[in-house]
Amino acid sequence: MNALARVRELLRAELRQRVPPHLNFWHILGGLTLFLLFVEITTGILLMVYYRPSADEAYESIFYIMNDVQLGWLIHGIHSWGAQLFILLVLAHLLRVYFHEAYRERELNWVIGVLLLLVIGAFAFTGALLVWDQKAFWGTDAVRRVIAGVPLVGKAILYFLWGGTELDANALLRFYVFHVGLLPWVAIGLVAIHLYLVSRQGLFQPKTFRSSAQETYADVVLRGLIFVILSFGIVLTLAVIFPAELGGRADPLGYQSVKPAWYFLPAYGLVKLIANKTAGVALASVGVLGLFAAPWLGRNSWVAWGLGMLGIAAVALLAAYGWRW
Amino acid sequence: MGGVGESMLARLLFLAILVSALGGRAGAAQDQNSCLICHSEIKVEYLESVHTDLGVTCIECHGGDSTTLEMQQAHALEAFFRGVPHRTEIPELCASCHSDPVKMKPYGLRTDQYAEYQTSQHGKLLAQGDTRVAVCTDCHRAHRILPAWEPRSSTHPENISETCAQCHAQRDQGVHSAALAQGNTKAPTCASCHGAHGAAPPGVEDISKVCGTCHIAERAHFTASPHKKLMDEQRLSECVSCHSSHTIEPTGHNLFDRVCVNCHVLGSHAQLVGQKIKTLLAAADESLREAAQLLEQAQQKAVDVSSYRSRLIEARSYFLQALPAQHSLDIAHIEELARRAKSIADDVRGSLHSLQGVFAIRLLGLTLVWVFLFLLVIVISLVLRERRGERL
Amino acid sequence: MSEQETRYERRTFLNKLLGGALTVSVMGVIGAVMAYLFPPERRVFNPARRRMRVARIDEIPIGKGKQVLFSGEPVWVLHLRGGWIALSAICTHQGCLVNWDEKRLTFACPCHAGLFDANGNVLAGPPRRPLKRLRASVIGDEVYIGEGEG
Repeated sequence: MNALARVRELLRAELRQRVPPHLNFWHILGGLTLFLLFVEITTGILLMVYYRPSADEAYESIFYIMNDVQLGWLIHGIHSWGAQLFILLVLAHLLRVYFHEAYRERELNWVIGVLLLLVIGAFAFTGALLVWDQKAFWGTDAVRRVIAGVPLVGKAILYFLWGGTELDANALLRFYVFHVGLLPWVAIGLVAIHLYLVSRQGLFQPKTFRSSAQETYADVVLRGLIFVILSFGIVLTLAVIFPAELGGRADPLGYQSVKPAWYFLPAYGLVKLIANKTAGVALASVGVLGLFAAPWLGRNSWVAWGLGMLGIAAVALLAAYGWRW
Repeated sequence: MGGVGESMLARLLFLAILVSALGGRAGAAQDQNSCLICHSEIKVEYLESVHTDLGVTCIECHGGDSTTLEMQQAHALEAFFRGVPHRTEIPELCASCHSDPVKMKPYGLRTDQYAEYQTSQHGKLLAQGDTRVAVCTDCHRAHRILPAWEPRSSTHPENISETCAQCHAQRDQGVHSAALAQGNTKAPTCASCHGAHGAAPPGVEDISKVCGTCHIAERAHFTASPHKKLMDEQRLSECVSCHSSHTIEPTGHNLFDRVCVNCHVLGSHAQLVGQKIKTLLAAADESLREAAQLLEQAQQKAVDVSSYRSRLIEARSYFLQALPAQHSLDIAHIEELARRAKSIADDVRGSLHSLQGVFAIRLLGLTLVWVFLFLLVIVISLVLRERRGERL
Repeated sequence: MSEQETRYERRTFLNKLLGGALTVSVMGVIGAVMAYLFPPERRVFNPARRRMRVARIDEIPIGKGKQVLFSGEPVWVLHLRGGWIALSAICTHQGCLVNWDEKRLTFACPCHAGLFDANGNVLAGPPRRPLKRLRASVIGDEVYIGEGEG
């Protein structure tokens, strides 16, 4: 009981702290992202109760969840749409941090943040395959073919990620293990460090700030709760109005040309644009490295903004190219 | 050397020459076929033909000497040189081998073609001396003779129409030729109805027998209908009257609008019966189509549609049975089949629509949740305002 | 009551209201999760859409067959001398349902007189493709049909 009382006191003390005066609406994004991570983990665990990761039964188990399990359609829908919103919010959070230049003197936290972005990309990629329908199968296979073309390391990567050079039951199981067994721990660990660093280093204060009424973190939390509720409502609405679609069962013999999910379109566009697939993959890697190096590249405000605009334009154009052609 | 040795050697030599002359006759024959050296324009065609592989050479049909390049010798009458056979001689020439069961046995070919040909219009007119009819080489070609199953053969099912069109203007543009064009060799060609060698155009009484060899159910129903007796009496073509003989269009429901009035007065009992059949089938077809569409949409949403699919298969089955049954004009029977198809399809449609009802319930639940969330947000806002009021 | 006290009361009331509302939400979520976790009565998960029990071996003598519904598709399961075979009952011509004739050992389609043999191959009539074949297997003393890996 003493421990509980101590925790309560600690929390109360934190909440009574005054917030820096420049705190505005955009700062809610990080918290929202955290909330969605929580939603994904919860719905993910629930789905694990009924999902079966074998090539024989995966599709059928999804079918079962959507048709027979009470509210199964809802849990599946929340997990699916929650993931979309999750990625959107992460990107918004990244952009917010970047354009507020909040990476200054917080380079480690930025690096961890970008790592988290990659982890979430891996979540999306591994998770999508698990439904084992035509769209998932051939979308993943397209990536496999690109990686297979990379000299030297391509095969090694395939053996590690796919468990072989083919997309088969082994790959499905491996993706499942990554998705539920490995990545969650990595994500939680990184998030813990990320949050700890934020609380230790405090929020970045720009030189210019508007003076507004002083308020405590308790108010911030309450306001954030409103947005949490609204975003949950949005996910719920999407899950009800646009139920998760399930294509035909994966048929390794029935090739289908599939466009990747929207968040992978820039990479897809880049690889498509450049004739040499390996060069495309290399360029994409350079892009990611650039993202990691943003705090150092963006030392000068003007440069930071310029690079940022350029980066966004490049990503948008590549995504458009990937979508249309 | 002794005398025995010499004669032995001579005999051996003679044997060797004989064997080499006779052995591998087919290949050896081409090597020795001097005709192809001078008549090089024929060479390509001939070498593609089936006769080449079987050792039927130029001299088999044209006579002459194929061992020499000297034209006089090659074309010598003593070598039974025939030149280009006259058209009236060609069927008999081909029949000299192709009507001989002994000769044809190793190749498994029929031997009744010539006999059939002689019963046909082509054969009869030829016997009277009219050379403007088809003889063997017109359809099978003179030199590039290919078996009918080879795709480039002039007698391949897909090419027969073109072969007959050399003389006959009738070019089938209907469903049968479309099926052939898609590679369905089970579809009928000119030869299927008119015969290949016994090429007599079917008379009025033959049509339904010809169509009926494939369209068995239709023929059976038609024969039981009042149309059969009346049309036979009036010497009207049974199938052709409504469906035409060469350009057979895909049957649609509007066929009833077009052809019944050729014989029946508009508004007469008979014509109205036709309209009733049309209405029944069109309604069933429409229901089936809509149900199938709804099924596809539902499946996209990962709804379990297996039970609906099986019912649609059943409904479709009844509908497909109703189609040949139309020819019987038995309204009761047709109505039963069409209505069964329609009612099952409508049932499935209804069930699939009611799935939308499930969706409506979910929307209702969502609305209630939103109401609650909205209230929650209001409460939080109030608390926030209260706190802010305090501080101020 | 002084203004201070009214404010205090109002604040406590609002806080309690908020706490109560949040509790209700949490209970709602837990309720939904509980409903989800209770397995549905209608159907325990079985890949019945992929595998289905047809009959015991001795229920179908040689030369005879049984028609069943598998994932919405009518399927004929035949007991032949060489073993068991499962064929789709949907004629490959226009989709009518074929019937197994025990005497002639053929499948006949009532619509356009298509004829198939016991292995589903076309014997006569307009169909061009053989009947779709499904996988039939014997497990223990029962016959199952299913697609893909048995």
